[in-house]
Amino acid sequence: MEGSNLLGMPGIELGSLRLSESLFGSLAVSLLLVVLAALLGLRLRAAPGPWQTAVEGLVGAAEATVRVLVEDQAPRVLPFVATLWVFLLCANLVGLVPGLESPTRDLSVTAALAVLVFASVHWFGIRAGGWRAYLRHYLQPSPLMLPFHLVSEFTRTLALAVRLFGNIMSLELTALLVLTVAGLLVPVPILLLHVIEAVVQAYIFGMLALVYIAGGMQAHERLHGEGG
Amino acid sequence: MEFDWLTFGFEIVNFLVLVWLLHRLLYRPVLAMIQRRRDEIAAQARAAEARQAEAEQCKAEYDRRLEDWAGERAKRRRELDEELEAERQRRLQALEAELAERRQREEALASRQAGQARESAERTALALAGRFAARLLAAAAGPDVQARLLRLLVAELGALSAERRAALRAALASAAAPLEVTGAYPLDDAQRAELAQALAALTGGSAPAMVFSEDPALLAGVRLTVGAWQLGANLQDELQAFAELVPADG
Repeated sequence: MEGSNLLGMPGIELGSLRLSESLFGSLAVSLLLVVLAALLGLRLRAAPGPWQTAVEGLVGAAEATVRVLVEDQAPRVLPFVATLWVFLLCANLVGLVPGLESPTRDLSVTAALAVLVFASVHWFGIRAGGWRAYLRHYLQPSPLMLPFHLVSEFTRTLALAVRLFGNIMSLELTALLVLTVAGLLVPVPILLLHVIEAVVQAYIFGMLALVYIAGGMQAHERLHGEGG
Repeated sequence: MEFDWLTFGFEIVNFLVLVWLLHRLLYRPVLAMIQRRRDEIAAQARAAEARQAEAEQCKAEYDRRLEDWAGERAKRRRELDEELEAERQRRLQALEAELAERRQREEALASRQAGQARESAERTALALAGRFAARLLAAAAGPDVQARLLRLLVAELGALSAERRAALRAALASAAAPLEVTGAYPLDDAQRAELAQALAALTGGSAPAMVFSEDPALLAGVRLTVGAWQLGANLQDELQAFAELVPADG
């Protein structure tokens, strides 16, 4: 493993492949989440303990939030959106651990997640109303709007990736710079801000993904509404 | 800042696998558990509603029974009141009858006691009057009174009824002893002759034999005695007859 720098992404050389540290961090976060989920999922009881109660509360709150936007399609959308929230929250907070970096400070990771959101919007939209109805909404209210729709799809995906990457990277960079210049305890307020920012950015990313997906799923409904 | 396509691709695969695993390991079991708990809660709520409905039905039945009991109680109370009123009236009438009877007995007793008191007072008055008359006549008694009484006796002998006159003749005829003439004071010859003449006129023949004697207890007057037959014209016999006969008459 190479030493970390301010902007670069140190990696690991496995033969001809060079795996970035952010990819390892992402895998580690995923592994941790899977292990915790397995431990908790296998120990579910009718009379819940504190941890089960907390997890049931979080999952229930996520399910309720998703159901507000997509109603009966919530069971289909919940795994993707809830995993975004959980993964991004943990990935954003990893940077608080000394010696580790948040995977989300890597544009490759955030871009991958943004592309997944982009793909999921079309996936869920086509599954909800059929590909004809879904594609037709790009021509509404006028075929002249098609370029704008396409630009909108690209820019909002790009915005998702860059927003998350920029916020997390800038926070960690700021903390690193302050720690380098001022000393050990001075970056503590910055770290506290990091916590808030990590939660907020995870929520924003997942919520925007949910809004985009709901918009894609309800595209055919809008068409039917306008046609009727 | 550089973009690593390898990281990008692995990250996509990593996240999709993570979504699948979390869905299998976490979301589905937790949502199933929540749904099962909701179902249990709904079942319990339905059971509670059923029990509540049953309880309300029991309460309605209980209220209905209470109303029935209240009506029955009011009915029994009215019957009891009527029985009590009837019993009260019956006892009141019995008491009034008893009081009337007792009042009658008391009035009869009071009347009897008043009669007895009146009789006692009369007897006392008569006794006092007898004693007073005896004392007065004893003080006023004398030979002249005896003479008047003798004339009264002679007149009475002449006025006797036929039955008494026959009885006197039978007594004089059957008597073994002579006629006893008792006076408070001795009779003089004229008085004796007058008496003999009256007796002779009574018997229709000669005068019967007579024996004269004195008894001061007679106070004044004479008493004729022949056998069991007596004829008196003296103060003692009159006072005694007065004392015995007047209360009975009164």
